[in-house]
Amino acid sequence: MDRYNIQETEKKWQSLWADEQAFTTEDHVEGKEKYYVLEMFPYPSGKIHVGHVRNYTLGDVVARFRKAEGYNVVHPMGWDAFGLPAENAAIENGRHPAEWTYANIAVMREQLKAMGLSFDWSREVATCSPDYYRHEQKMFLDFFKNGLAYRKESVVNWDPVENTVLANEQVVDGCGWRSGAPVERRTLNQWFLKISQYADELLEGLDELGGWPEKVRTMQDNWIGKSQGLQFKWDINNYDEDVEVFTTRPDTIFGASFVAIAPDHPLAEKLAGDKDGFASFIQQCQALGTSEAAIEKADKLGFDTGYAVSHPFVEGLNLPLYIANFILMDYGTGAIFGVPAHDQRDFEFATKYGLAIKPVVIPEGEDAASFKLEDKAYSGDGKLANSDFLDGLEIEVAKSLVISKIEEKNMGQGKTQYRIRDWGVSRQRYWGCPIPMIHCADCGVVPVPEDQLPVTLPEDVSFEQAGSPLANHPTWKNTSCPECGKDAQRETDTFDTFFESSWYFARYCDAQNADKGFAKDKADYWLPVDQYIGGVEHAVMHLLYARFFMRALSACGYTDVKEPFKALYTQGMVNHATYKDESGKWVFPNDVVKQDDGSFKHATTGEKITEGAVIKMSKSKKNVIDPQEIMDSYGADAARLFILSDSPPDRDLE
Amino acid sequence: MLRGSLSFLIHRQTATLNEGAWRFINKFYATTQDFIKAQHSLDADAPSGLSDDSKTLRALTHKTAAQIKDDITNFHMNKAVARCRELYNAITGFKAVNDDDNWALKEALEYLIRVMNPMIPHVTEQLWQDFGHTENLYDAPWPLTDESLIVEDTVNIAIQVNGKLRATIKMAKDIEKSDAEDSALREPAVQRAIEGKTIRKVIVVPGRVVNVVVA
Repeated sequence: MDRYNIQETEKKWQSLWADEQAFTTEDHVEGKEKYYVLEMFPYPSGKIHVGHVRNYTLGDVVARFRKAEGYNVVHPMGWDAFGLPAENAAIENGRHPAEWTYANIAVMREQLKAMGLSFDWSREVATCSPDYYRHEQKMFLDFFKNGLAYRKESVVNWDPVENTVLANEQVVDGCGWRSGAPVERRTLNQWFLKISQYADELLEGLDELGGWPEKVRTMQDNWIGKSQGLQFKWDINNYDEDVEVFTTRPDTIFGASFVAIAPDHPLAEKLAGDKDGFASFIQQCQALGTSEAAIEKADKLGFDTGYAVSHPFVEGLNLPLYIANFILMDYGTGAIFGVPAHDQRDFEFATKYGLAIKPVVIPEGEDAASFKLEDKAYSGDGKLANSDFLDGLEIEVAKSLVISKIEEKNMGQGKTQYRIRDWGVSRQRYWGCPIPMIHCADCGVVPVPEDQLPVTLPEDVSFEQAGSPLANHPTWKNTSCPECGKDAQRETDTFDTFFESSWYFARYCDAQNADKGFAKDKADYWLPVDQYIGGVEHAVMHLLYARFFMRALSACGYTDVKEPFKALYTQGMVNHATYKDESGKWVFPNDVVKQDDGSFKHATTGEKITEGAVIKMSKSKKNVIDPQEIMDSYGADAARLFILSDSPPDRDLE
Repeated sequence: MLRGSLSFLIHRQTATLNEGAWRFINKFYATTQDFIKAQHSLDADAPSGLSDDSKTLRALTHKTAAQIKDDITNFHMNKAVARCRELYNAITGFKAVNDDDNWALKEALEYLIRVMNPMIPHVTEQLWQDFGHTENLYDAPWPLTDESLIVEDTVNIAIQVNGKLRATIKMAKDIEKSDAEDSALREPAVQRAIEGKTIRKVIVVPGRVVNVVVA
């Protein structure tokens, strides 16, 4: 009996499927309902990794199954091709980002084909191709026309050595991840998309997404962060101005023991600018960068301005006015009143600076007289106490009462606040989509006329100089103003790569359309995606941006579809055992041999190896497995079957 | 086929890969090829008088095709694979004594090939072709489940409260314990008997008794 010849058989069928265009899909097939299966598209880093293998195998089972059930299935694939790694590769290896990217795409395409995946390759897209990004430049112009895109100064992380803006992820312990230099907070003019305008719609839309995991919907809910609060003014004693605070807990007003403002609040400099230690305090604050997470984690730091504010309800009660490192200027008003008993950050701050910690919300079952906090704030439910006219009330009732009293006194008003900020899309990078705008000294900011699209990247580019490579290019930015004809300069910023991934699923519907991103009838036919598969790490950025982008496109007449993804499947991470040698360095699983007695040794040096925790596969921990090796030896079917049989994909795979 | 360096690979993933998926595919291939080579001449339609064993095999075949639809829909891929292995084991454990039996065996093999196609498309396309089919699997519909073949195996279960018989319910033989518990607690006679009392525990003896212990 002939042994099964994997290599030959798998190649034979892959050729046949390709020759017969087995998975090429027509739009609008008579008598068949459409079904759109999509896995999140990959960044072409060079080789597929095991996370890809699991992702695409899952999607392939769904696609082939639905096809067998009689659906008109579309199962497209493409490349999320712009981004920083290509520029880093250019700097490190001297290869042009475009050449590096397309070479990787070629390798990975072959790897995917060797897995026997049922993709419709006729719909393949590479986001770095002008054939793709010309259409998103047009979309941006339409957003601009409709008031959904605007320019504004905002605070960014500035690396003074590299002379460039850093994303929050590139700031490590307050320093640039490559230069190691302390990062500064600077203001820069940037382009924004008005996602905040859709905050309520995006929030309410979550209720319709029953096919999404609860966890992801909750994450989006929290990211949008709608809260009802109170905005009101505190009188600063012996000073002409008031300080306006925002709070989501007006009920705790009687527990306030200080007021704090952000380091970049206009009052900060005014009140304390001439005091000793102010300058170095501000520097310490700026070193944290702009990442909310970093600020949240850092030790609480405060600077007493020396001024005090009067309590709105307690005659004669004055509270100190501090500048604090954990107050953000762009949330609320950049000022708060601190209630240490009921807010953890305020608790840490008060503990450090010896400020009063006064409980005013008593949990069920406790007595106001005997209630004691242990070593942290209490932010749960309860009834008001030690609070004058609020005593005995439930939190929500107390909130409303405080709001109406403040409104009566004309000191402020109730307000709805959102945590979500407008989406800043400017990046000072080369390997990204050029933003199609022109800066004219006379006319200001002028959109590139549609008939001049696409604005393409120059091929000759140098990464020798620090700063934006497009800005440094001697001639690329020189152009003439479309309005007055005088000499003008192109916008040298490029789009955040999330811009491309916000509409790629719509492009697949009409991938070869040269005139527009997609014909409306094709998008309206195929969308929404019926089954989307990808990692949960995209829960709040990509998945929220895409939901917003579809609504923005809909507002501009591109499509009637507002929600891009009907059902979502998110997977855990791929984990593996880790190994360390005697000096504590990580070792690849391939270089480790298991002995008969169960111990491990290095395959070549023979030294003793210790097996460590099973954690997420990571290149730095060297616990990665190259799926290509597995496929070369066992074939695609075995690799696929293994991935499918291991464990439910919404848990971490080991 | 096996690369030299792989013999040094020890980590659990590839070890499992070696023992599990790889061996299964080879065995599946070999088993099917053996059957094809025997060249049984069989009718297209089901034979009229099938043996009990054949009926059991057909029931499993059709149940598998139906359940895998749910598994894939709910992303329980590992369950789907487990069911396939179960059907495969039933196939290899089946002793065909005549052509009626071979008919049931062929149906089982062909169904298994078809339901596994979305997971392992290459080997299944090959086996389907080797069976003599001209249409390729990528174009083929999901195999139909004949509901009349799926025998509902039910048993009478005694429902007790503190050891005293309160009701008798017909339940599926392989019902999950938690489902048996739920059915028992829904019985009006049981609810009357436990009213005002606290349930201490529920003892389920599969296929026989559910005893609700109250205090």
